[in-house]
Amino acid sequence: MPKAYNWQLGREMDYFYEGNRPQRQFAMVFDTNKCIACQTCTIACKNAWTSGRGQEHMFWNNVETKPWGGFPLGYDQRVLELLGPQEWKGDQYQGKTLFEAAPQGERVLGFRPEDEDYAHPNIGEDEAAAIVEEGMKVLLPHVPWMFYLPRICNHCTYPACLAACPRGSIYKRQEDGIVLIDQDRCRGYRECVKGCPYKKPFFRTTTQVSEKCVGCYPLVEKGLQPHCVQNCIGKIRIQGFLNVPERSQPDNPLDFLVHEKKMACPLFPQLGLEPNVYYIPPIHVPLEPLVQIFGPGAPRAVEAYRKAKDDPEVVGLIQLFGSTDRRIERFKLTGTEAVGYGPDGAEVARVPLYEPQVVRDAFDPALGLPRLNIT
Amino acid sequence: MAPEDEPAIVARPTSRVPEEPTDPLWSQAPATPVLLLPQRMTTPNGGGAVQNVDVRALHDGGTLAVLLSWKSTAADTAVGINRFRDACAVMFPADPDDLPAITMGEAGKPVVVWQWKPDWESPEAQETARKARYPEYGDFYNPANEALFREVGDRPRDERANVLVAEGFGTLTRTHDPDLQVRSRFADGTWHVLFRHPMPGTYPSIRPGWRGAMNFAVWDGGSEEVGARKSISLQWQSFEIEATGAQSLAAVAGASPLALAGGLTAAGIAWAIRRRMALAKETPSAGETRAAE
Repeated sequence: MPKAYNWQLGREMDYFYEGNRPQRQFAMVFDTNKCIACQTCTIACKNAWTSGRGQEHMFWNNVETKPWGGFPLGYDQRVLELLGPQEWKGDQYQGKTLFEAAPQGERVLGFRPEDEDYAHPNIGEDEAAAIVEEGMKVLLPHVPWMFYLPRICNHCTYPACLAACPRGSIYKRQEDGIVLIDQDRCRGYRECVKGCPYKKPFFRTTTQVSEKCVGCYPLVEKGLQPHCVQNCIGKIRIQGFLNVPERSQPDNPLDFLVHEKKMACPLFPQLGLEPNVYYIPPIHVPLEPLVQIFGPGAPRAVEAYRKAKDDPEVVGLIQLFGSTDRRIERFKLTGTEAVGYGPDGAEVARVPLYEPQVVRDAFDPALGLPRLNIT
Repeated sequence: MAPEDEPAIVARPTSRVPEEPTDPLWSQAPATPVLLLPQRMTTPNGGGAVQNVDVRALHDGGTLAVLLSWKSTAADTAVGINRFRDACAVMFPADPDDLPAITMGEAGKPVVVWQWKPDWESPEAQETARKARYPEYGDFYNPANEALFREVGDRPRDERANVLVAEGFGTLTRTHDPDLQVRSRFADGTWHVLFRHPMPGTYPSIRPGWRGAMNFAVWDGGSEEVGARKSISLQWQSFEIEATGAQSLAAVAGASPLALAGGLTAAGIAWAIRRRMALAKETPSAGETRAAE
């Protein structure tokens, strides 16, 4: 089997095709600490792309509650169980990827969900990992923890859907790394549905072919961010292009968070797909589940995020999240402001590092009333 | 192909060609049992649920009829996310004198495939079953999306079965051939699927007196067989459309132009596939990279 270098694993791995990185790689960073699971991203995506007959069960974007939630049901636990316990040695992965663990005669280790697994996209919502007992104090990390995990297609560098398709109906665009299913070539074999561990290709019974998140490529081509990013109420998302670690550009927002500050981690990197949606892990969750979900970089990322308030560059960049519909390809600080620059180098966003803060007396003498909100 | 004295499968002439798979006339056609094996030449591997298919063929000079029969534990006719339907296919070489490997054709040596799927044959029944399984939501649907989805997807538009061409694994491509008729019947744990195509056909160039070959594939939906996961005949089965006296004279008279037309079509389709593959691989305009198909 051909080899491909996966920097998230720190080693070469088996892949069905020769490693072939695109000229630029579509990527996103999600700050899980700010996600409130309002599902506005989900609805923005649904209205834009999957409002047709036969697409009822599809959420190209979904937000689930960890640890219990998953869409489709238990997608992650089932894949991890299939793969079995695996080991990291520092930042290098010693275990098997889904490609390396593929049974004889298969290209990828995977499973296909049932109809019912798509029927409850937000099951387990708001449920914590443990019961909150009487007398418990709020400690960090939380003992009964939970957090929201927003998900789209990871537009992987080594997509399992693409490897699994026996017809080559799935392709990765050279200009931006977006992974698409050719609706003309697809014959609905559902090998991609089985192969993708994140379960982001969906089978449509009316057309009898599969569909997936298209990374809002018509917007990306125009220098705009996808619908799920533009509509995010919590401003937790940023979309851009990510370089490999050796070519990291510190003023590229994605490179800055992923490579320079190591504050954002991939989702289940051990599966070997080199996924390109990166998560700032939730800082109130115990490290053990975070390492399983986000890889060995999770403790470092939590530590970096805890210190973020003292780092004006990080503060400025996080303020730029959700500040514009346009793609920010470079950013810099100018005194008390953070400025984002678009694909053509023009300024697209300017935000203050800190909002002015006023603290008022608890009692308003003019009206003779106590104030409910004093900051 | 190396001409054999006794072709494995012979379509004998008859006064009329049956329109139903259960027509008593089929008793006049001897059944040729063909051994099927799991597909293990390309990944993903699969198949093996069906080990034998019985093949019968008849013609009346104007229409060729091929009947496939195989035992199946159940009639799987509906499509779901993890639910697959039974299916079968007959494969012909484009040029019967130059057989490609059984790898669904080779570059420059295309094959033509007749494929049957139960929901393609009766799309109305499938739509009723689909709606029963997947509830729909009143005014939920976006009209623009509704219009778009009718244009895409893998199902015949006007036909009830599909004629496809291929030049190797992963290259199977739909064509439009409304002349291919299908009729199926599931009875006593056996599928009977009847393909009918008028003669002379251009692709494959079937006509009375034609000596070529056929290959077969059967999918058992209940065993999650789909795509490459199928049971296949591992050798070309020699096939002859027996000429009657008068027809054979007509065939001789018309042989050269017909053969020429058939050959040209085959070459044309081979060229079209190669062009499409080349375009898909290069696509400098769209800047897309496609994995090797």
